[in-house]
Amino acid sequence: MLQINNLHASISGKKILNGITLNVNPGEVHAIMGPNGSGKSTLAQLLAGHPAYQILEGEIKYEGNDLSELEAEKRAQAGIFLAFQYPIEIPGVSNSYFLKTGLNEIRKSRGQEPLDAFEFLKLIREKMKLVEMDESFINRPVNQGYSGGEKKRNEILQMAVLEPKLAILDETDSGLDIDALKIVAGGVNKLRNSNRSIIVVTHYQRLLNYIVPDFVHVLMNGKIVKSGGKELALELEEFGYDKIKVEVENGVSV
Amino acid sequence: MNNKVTDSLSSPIENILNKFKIFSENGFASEPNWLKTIRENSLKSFQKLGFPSQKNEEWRYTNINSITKLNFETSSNKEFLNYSKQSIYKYIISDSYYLVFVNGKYLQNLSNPPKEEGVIVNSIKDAIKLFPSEVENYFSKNIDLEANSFAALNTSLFDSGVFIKIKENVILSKPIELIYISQNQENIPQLISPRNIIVIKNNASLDFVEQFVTNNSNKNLTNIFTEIYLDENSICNYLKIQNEVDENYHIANISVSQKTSSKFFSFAFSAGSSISRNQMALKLFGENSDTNMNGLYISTAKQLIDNHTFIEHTQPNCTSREVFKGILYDNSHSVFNGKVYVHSAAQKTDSKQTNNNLLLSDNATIDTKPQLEIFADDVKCTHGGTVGGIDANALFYLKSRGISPKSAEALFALGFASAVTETIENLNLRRFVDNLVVSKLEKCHGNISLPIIAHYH
Ligand SMILES: Nc1ncnc2c1ncn2[C@@H]1O[C@H](COP(=O)(O)OP(=O)(O)OP(=O)(O)O)[C@@H](O)[C@H]1O
Ligand SMILES: [Mg+2]
Repeated sequence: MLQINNLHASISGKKILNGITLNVNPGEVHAIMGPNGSGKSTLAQLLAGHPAYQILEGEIKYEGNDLSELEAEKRAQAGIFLAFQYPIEIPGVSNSYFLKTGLNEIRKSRGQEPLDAFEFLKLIREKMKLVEMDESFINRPVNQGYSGGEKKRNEILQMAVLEPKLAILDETDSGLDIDALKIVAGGVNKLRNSNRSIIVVTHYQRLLNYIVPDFVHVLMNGKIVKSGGKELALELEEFGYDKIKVEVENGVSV
Repeated sequence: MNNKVTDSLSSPIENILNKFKIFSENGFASEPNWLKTIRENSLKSFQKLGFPSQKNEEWRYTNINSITKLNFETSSNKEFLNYSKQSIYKYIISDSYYLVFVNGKYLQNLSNPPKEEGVIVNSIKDAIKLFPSEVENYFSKNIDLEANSFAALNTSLFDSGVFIKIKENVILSKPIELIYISQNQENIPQLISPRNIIVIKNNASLDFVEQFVTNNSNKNLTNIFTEIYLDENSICNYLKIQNEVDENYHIANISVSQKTSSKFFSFAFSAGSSISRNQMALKLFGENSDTNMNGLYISTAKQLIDNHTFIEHTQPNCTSREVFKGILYDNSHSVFNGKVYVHSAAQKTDSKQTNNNLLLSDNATIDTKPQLEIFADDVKCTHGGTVGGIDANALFYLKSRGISPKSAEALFALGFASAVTETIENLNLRRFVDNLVVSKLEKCHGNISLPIIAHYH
């Protein structure tokens, strides 16, 4: 599904990613953890095609094809989805309007008929149930005036509607209360299947109790310094990043 | 421009003086003396002022040279027979009363004036005949005709328009819509000078719409002057739609007077004409009054769209809010000048003004100028403005959901616009404006199709 090889990248002339290598197969869930500023969101945004990031070295392959030249909308049409750490407000554009346009452009790119207003409404209502969102959000402007948690739920709603092949969830758990966390994680789990890959960026082991990952990676200074199974998250929870820092400094093999 | 206009030897201003002479010997002769005097004085003012030049601070950004060169004909007695219900249907806002005018001439058979109790609607000329002193009471009461050349020109020459009065305690059930169609008359530019007087008595309420459109290409100048008088505790919602074709000219003066505890809301949508100026002057004469002056302008091609607003607080405890938004394309030029003046007596004034501009072309120009003049010490007055393109993060967010850049830009522009059109409370009026915005933006963004704005909660 996704192959990242020795990826080096920068923004505004500042180098952030320093040789990331990551392989994600269909159906796998990978968790990426790491200290603030280590480059997790940079990687996520770069995968989604944010034009501000510059690839200096290495490559990203998605379904066997090089991603680097592909515009963000083409990536979305190819099945990549990013749930933003900080979802963007679009004043005056209603949620349904926004999502319907996106979904229909994605459908069009796949040679599918667009959904009409009625079919779309039926779909969005059904998906809203998945993340237990109030129907009033259908007509509210995108993310404007939403609470932090509502924004995160809205991201997962979008994922549910767009049905991506590769979903990158950037700190979807932060800002969610305990109940909302369960609901959102439950929603994500329902979207989990053998064809869909998910990358979960998080600071907290708690989320991984609900969305159980196949692999956990630790990102530090723009580099994956340690990978393991779900138990690695527990270890991090207990010892923090200091232990890994020491391991890395001492050249302990990962 | 090789039409009959340039054949004339007299200058445009001499031409106007001649028109006045002919009118005063005919149509104006039977008018009451007070009006004759005002007309004569207005003509003198206009003669003295001439057309405003850019040396005039109020016209600094607005070059109207192409208007001043034209030798206008003034509305003839031509009958306009080529109009059917069918042809005007698209201008009618659903569930409203409407009056249709072509080059200022009232088309009775196509109109649907209100017949409710407590509402008076007359042509201005009939009103002058039927109740001259009432008209006199509300005539040019809140404008300085010696300083405003287009208002003076209108006052000296007007021969069309309406007088509307909503009596005490009357809440009109539907909006009254005035549809002004500007039509080509043998390629001779017409000077169309409607004069409207709207009076809303104590505790009364009115939704009032002026819509300006064209059915064919012309170089007419619509020079309208509308006066709105709100008595105590009254409400007026005023919608102006300026959607004439891109070749013609549009100058509007709107003067509003508000008494105690009255509420005024206005929305000015400007998208048409080659040069247009919307000049609104509002005066708060009574305490506890509330004003909202909003608008949206969309300029394309080489259009010049100018919105000039002036809000004057003379009494304490009044609120004024103003939000104007603009979207600029191509080589167009828009001007926003918003002045708020707070007299020393107007303590506890609460005033806020915002002007946001979305610049979608490197060749478009916006001149935005907020002005606050405050002579009271206990007031809350703010203004703010922005000029910018589409937010890069928003664009990325839209694209990351599969939306093509072209649709993303259009969607962003539509959102930008609808965040201000949604302040129009009456849903029929809002929908009507939203539809105009959608079809305009669809054209501006390369004939993509935009869904109709969804949020009608
Ligand atoms: N536009 C920019 N210009 C300069 N530096 C930037 C820019 N954007 C991000 N950075 C820097 O890149 C580094 C990585 O940021 P990134 O957002 O990827 O971190 P993160 O791992 O997601 O952190 P957090 O856990 O706090 O979300 C940070 O040091 C950040 O300050
Ligand atoms: Mg981050």
